[in-house]
Amino acid sequence: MAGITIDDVERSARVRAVTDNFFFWQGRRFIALGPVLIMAGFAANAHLGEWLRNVLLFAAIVVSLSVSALIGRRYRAEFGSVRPIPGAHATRSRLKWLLVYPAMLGSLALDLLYAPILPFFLSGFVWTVGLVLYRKSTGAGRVHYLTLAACLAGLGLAPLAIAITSRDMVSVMLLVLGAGYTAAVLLDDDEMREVLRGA
Amino acid sequence: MDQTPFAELAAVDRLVHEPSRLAILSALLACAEADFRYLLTVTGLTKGNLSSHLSKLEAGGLVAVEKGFAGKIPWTRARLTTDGRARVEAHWRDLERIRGKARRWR
Repeated sequence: MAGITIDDVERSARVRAVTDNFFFWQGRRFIALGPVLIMAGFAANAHLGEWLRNVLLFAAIVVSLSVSALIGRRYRAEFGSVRPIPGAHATRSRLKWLLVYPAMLGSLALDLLYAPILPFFLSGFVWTVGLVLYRKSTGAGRVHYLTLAACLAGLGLAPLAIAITSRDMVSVMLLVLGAGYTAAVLLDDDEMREVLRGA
Repeated sequence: MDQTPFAELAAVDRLVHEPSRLAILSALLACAEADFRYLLTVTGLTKGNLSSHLSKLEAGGLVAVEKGFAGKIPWTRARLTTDGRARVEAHWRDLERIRGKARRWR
């Protein structure tokens, strides 16, 4: 019988974490979301009618979901599939929908509505926390999310250093987040392959 | 110390305490069930070797294997039995305890 080494145990622990959060580690599934965020960032400042802007964003989201489903099929063919344990992440889901997402949307609303009053960019800090929680609650690893979170925290301080309102910072954050998220999901994919295949 | 910290666990549950089987069981512990392809991915085994490990785990009462067809395409899914889940969870509790010890030993 082959003996077990520390490395075997560490790898099995990572396999366990990735399997538990397999959907979230399939980075390329979310690849279209980055361009959607970038587009939202540009659309926020573009001279488009509100109706056209909404239609464009809605179309981009539909395309993004379709791309995600197609890429999901390719992941299934390449890696196989797992069925999650029902209710295993009920607390995470509750916190996400009742606390984290409302806080992220609320901070955006405050930044847009109270731009002249806030001396800093609130969304930068709130979205930093959201990103750190996302990483921790979906199996940790993926240190690139900490880098992206640090960038967002930096954006939170930007209005203190340069003459820019928190309203304008919303567009900047969407552009930075879109570019950073695109890189992050590609790195997610790399890390998932490394963990599952033990490369 | 003349043996690794994990050697003491080998006596606890020899069926679980083998690298490929630990990877299979760790993956199954984190989900309700996994298909054969996923287990091939996480173990890097050949189909024959994976089947052999699954048979041993099934014979030991840790894993239940289900086979069927989707049209003309065969599929195989594996899941932990209730007893298997309890045993693998207990084994992981021991592993976690010894992981700390192993880091110091390393």
